[in-house]
Amino acid sequence: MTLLTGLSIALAALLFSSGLAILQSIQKPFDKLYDKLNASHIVMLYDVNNQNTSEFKDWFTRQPETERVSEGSPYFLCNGPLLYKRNKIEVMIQLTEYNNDNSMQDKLMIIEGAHKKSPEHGEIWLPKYLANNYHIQIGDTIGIPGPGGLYQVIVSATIADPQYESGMVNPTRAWIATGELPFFIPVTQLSNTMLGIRLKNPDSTSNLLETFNRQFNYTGVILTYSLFKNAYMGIYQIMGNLILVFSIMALLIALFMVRSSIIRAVYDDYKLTGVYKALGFTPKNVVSLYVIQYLLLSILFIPVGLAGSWFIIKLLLGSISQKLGGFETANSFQQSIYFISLFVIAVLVVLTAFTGSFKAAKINPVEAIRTGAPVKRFSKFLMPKEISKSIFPLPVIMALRFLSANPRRSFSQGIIIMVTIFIIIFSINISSSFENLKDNKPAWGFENGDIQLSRREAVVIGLNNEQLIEILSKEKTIEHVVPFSYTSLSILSNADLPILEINGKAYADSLSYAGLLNLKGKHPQSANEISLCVGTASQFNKKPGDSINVFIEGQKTNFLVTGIYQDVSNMGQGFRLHENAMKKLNPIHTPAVYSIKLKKNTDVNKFKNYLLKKLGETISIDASIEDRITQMGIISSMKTALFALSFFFIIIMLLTIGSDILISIKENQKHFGILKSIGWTPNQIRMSMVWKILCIAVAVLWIAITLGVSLSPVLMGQVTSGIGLIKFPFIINYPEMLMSIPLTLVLISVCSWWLSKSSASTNPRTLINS
Amino acid sequence: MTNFCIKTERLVKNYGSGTFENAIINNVNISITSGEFSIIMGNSGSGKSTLLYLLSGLDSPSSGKIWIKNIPIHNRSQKDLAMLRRKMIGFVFQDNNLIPNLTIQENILVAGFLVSGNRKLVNQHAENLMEELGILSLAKRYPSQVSGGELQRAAIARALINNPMILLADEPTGNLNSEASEKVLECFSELNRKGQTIVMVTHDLKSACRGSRVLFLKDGTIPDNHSYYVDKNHPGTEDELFTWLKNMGW
Repeated sequence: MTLLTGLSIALAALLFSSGLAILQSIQKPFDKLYDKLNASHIVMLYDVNNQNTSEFKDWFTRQPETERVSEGSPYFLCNGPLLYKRNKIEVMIQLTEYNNDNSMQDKLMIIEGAHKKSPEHGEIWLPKYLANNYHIQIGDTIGIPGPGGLYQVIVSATIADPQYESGMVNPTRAWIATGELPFFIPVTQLSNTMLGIRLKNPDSTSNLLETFNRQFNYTGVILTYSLFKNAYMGIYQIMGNLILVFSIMALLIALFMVRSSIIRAVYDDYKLTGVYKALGFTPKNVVSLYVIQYLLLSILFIPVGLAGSWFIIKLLLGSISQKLGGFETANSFQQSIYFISLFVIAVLVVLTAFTGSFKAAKINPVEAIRTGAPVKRFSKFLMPKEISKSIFPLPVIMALRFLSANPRRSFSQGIIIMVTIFIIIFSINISSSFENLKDNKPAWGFENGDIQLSRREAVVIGLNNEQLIEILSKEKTIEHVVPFSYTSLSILSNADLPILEINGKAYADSLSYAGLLNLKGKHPQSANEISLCVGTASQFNKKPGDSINVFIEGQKTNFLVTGIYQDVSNMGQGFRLHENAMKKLNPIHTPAVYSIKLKKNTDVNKFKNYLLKKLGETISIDASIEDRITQMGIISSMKTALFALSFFFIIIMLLTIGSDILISIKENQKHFGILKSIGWTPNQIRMSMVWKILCIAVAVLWIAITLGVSLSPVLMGQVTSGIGLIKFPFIINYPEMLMSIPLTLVLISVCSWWLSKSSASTNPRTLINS
Repeated sequence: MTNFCIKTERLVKNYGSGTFENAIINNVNISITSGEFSIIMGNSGSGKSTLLYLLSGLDSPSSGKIWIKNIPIHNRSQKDLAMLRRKMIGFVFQDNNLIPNLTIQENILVAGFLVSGNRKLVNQHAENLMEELGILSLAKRYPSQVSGGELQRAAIARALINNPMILLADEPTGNLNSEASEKVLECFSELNRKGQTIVMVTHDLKSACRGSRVLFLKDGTIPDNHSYYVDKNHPGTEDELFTWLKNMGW
């Protein structure tokens, strides 16, 4: 019993410290890397034909918040695909020239490869996560598609690039030598520049940008430190929060076990306590006996749990480290986490022991010495009501009697089993929801197409929109095509100053055709209608029916908000327009991206290859969102975390069942002896204990399933709201869920059966005379 | 083998271990015939209850043999002994040992349902027994709600529900007042008159006189001359028994 209680304390300590460490650690490595590499807090990407670099530089340099402004770095946005060992890598990549200024700001940390000052001619430095995802090694050659054809570069290093390490900022960034771009990109197309501003305090970013936007009519892209940080931290924050929430549940269960074992101990030591009191022990002395016992237990077992958490943390931080390109994360969390966990859990255990041992303090010495055991009181509401009319077998009847005789303990046991089953159902269905993203894309904010292709404009002989639509419309395996384009706008304040730039999409067809969904309202249809992503709507307090002033396509425009939607791709920021709006602002606007929905049972990969063969370099096929998310390891990380969580709670549940059975055996020892004396076999007695736990489990099962199915999406919605999902796209995995139930019941039965062994083996006379 | 119900041969039961091992039952050879009302008496700590527990299979001997009818029980598994106790042995404890969260009737039924699948029949039989023993009105009450004597009669009903071959009773009147004791003993006498084989442990002379034979357990053993046949018709039986017991060392 002591061992079981100690193990539950250790498990609670393990979960609690792991949750705290994850939450504390995820930010630290990122910030450390950011500072170490003097990374810019504001990254501006713009066309030099439209913007004046020196004006921006001068202005930012003069601001007191600014620490340093970088020299502009030319870049080229390559839409991919990259060619690697005859395979196509569908990534959009920002090829940026590395210059001398990068030794001062936006430095790069070489993880693998030769440690040079910069890439040399014909070389490329890739972010570590990208190299890992596609198993690209140092020395490999990759082909970069350019207007003039494929340009071969050698991967000479993999680097940690803090702004892009999460893999969730798209396009990603790779580095080439100074002056490399003109080798394969026509100079006329080289007008993009990246400018970095490093601040003294990243918290001053939004104020500084607000001032900047008031001064300048900036129409480029601005990426900020908070975007980079959220992209990196998003999934780990979810995991950390989940682990912490469930660790608190585990802690409560551990404290329950502490209390149960104290109650059992008080029962066991009843007569002895009476003797101690008769000898002169005060109630305070009696309480301190138990408090010291459990303090020692905590001191022994909490470090065991913390030692276990060290491995868990290392595992999870290793995963984070991989995402950061190998940046050292192992010791990034404070050792103080261990001390905090030790202190918090030890205090809680001692407090529980203190309150639980009051019963011992109140023992009447005379009664204790005479009776040897506390007078048992049992509930009047016993089941079954009439044994003579009951159809149940005897072990079940006795199980129901034991269960109903002590309703408080049965209730507590039921709560623990219910929580465990809830967590199992939660884990199965949440994992399934992530895994089945491809079948539920609209709920995540994506089009329901099977393929997304981009029409290449920077090719010698390309296709225009109409030509491509005509070609696609003749394909019998295509169900429908929804053309759209990526665009961006700046939301204006009341004073008509841009305060936030957001990216969005404009659709050439009805948005319903793409399967898109709204949380509220409806899709935009006319030229003056817009729907906003939930984060944007919340930030600007907009709802359907409100109007919003924006700056788009070089014009100030007012839109009517028709709907609110959720979309995980931009952390909850974004907008949707109908193409009518774009054409009104820019009559020559044409869509360049196409979401293609195929007919049922069509082989998607086969069709992709067919399209590429047919249309060649005029199109590129974008990596599907599910592939990108899989590559980032998000699904596998979530599944691992959820599996670990379920596993821990199953262990806790089995520990509490074990505790309950041992207490039951102790309390009912004499009854078992009596039953044996009248002819009950040992197995019948064991079965009555198994049935007792099973009856509780079956009773709470339905509540747990109902809660699991109804509360899981709500709980996850709270956790994922930070990344733009307030209504979690929940898919119930019926087969796995329904299979897990009998498996759990079998596990409970086997555990109960095994633990009831001691009741079976003991001699009836010994039991009766106990 | 003659018509015996219970027979033991060189029965030994030790407690403790090593140098602290002590034989509480030491080479007991007894034979109890059908229909006999045997009384086991002895001083405190002589092993009377231990002997009774061994005869019922509730405890296992250190060595020696025990037969119930012709069935050896000394080397049986717990499961086999439980099956034996269901059908052949009824046990009445000193402190009744009824299960507190079952009613009087339910305490009897949980024993009866073990043998018969026909619960209606068992229920009827239980009610008949309770009526015979004068406790039918207490059927729906819990043990905490009835008196000691009534509890003991309920325990007797439980022991009889499966029509056992042998009824074993360990100081059934030990915790009862004289009135309650008298009622319980009268039950036993009545049962014996109907042919029930009874083995009862007691330290009370009056109770002992209800039996047909008294066995005296001394230092864990019952030699042949430690038997006294009670003549109930003889008016001086109690005095004679007293004298005999005194001579035995009681």
